[in-house]
Amino acid sequence: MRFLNWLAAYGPSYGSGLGWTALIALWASVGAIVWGSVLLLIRLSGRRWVNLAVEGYVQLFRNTPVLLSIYLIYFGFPLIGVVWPAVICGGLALVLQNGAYISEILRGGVKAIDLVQFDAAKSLGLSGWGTFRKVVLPQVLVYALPSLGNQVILLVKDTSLLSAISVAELTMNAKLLTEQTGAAYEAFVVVAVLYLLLVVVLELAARSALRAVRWRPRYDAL
Amino acid sequence: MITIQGLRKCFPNGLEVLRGIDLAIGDGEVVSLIGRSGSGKTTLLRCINFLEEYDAGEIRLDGTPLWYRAATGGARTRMPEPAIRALRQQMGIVFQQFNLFPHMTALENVCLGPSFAHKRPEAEVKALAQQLLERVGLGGKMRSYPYQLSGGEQQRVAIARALAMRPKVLLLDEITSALDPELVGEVLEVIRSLVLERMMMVIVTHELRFAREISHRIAYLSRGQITEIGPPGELLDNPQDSTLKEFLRRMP
Repeated sequence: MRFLNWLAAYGPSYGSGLGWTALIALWASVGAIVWGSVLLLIRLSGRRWVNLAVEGYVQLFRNTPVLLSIYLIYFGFPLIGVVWPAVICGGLALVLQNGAYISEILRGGVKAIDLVQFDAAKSLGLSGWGTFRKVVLPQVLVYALPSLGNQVILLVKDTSLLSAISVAELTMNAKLLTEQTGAAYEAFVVVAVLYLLLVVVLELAARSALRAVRWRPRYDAL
Repeated sequence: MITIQGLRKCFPNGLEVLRGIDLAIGDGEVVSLIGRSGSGKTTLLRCINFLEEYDAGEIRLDGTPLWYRAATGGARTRMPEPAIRALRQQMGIVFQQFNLFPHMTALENVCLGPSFAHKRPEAEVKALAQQLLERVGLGGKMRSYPYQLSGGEQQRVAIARALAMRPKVLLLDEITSALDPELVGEVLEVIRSLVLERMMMVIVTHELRFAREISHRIAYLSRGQITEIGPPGELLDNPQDSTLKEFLRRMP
């Protein structure tokens, strides 16, 4: 009963936090998928030293906590004269980190493409970029869709780390409510449920996206 | 017309797969390449449109040297990539495994090349593709994806895709080898109609009966060399080369 009363009083104040979390998650996941694709393209272009640089980048972000990147960007960028809002800095950290993971995921997807298609693309006079855009990427995104969905879910949960730099997203919202009302248990349970709902929605979206794919590979990888 | 002179190629493992190939194919001519597996016929075909690089020799299309430029001191360099692409667009190739793009419908497969290469308006490209698919008997399957098509249908889409580039020559690499026997006929029927249109073709095949029927000349490759070449009647009925005699005796 106490919980319901609390919810009736403070529930609506989660609206803005939820909005921010959804917004950050959206732009950061789109950004991460684009950035991951760019990294993949660079890797496929096959220059040795470029490959090494991308490899180094991926290892760096894979092996350091994302919270560290958030701090480094948020507190570090002003030192070089770049002052961005906390939402942008935090989102950028998520893009950089998840882009690294996503490029790895997509690289796995490339292996599922039948190599003979590259002969066909060449014979039609497609450029490297044309082949990537028309042949590689559309297939890879589908082959990688389940793992990609997973990564986006991880990203959505990691948006809570932005509370560390006072971005007014869900977790921050709950933190503030706790301070205002002293009801820590209620405040965080509501947040947990909201994250859960977000993730369930995403999961369903990923599944229906996969079902909407009308083509099949030559062998059944889907 | 395509002229090939002194073509040589070594695989990285040191195997010399082409050992000095000379061959000229005239406009409207159909030349079949036959020989045991490993004799170099597919490699030769893939060298013509530069899916394989070669170590020495020259290939010309209507007198223009292809793929490499002479550099100082007798060396040679690869042409720049855009020039290579532009030249490739003048040649069509059909593969043993069809090599269709699985995420595109039959129509999209056929449209991809011309919409990319020729930068034509989409409607024009689409009209041409529809016309070609109808021509190969797939007017009703334009919106089908490759997995929804039989092997014979996929191969006919692949032929339409190659023709959509309006190529000067069509290269066919064992295009019926991966098909069930009952589907071979429909694909060969399309090729017959192309012969009637005087399409220049180079055909790698194991179907000797078909090669006899449609080729103007047949070339027999053995260990990277053309050891015998001539009209089908002469080469198949009165072979001179001893390895060719042996090869023909073993064929069904």
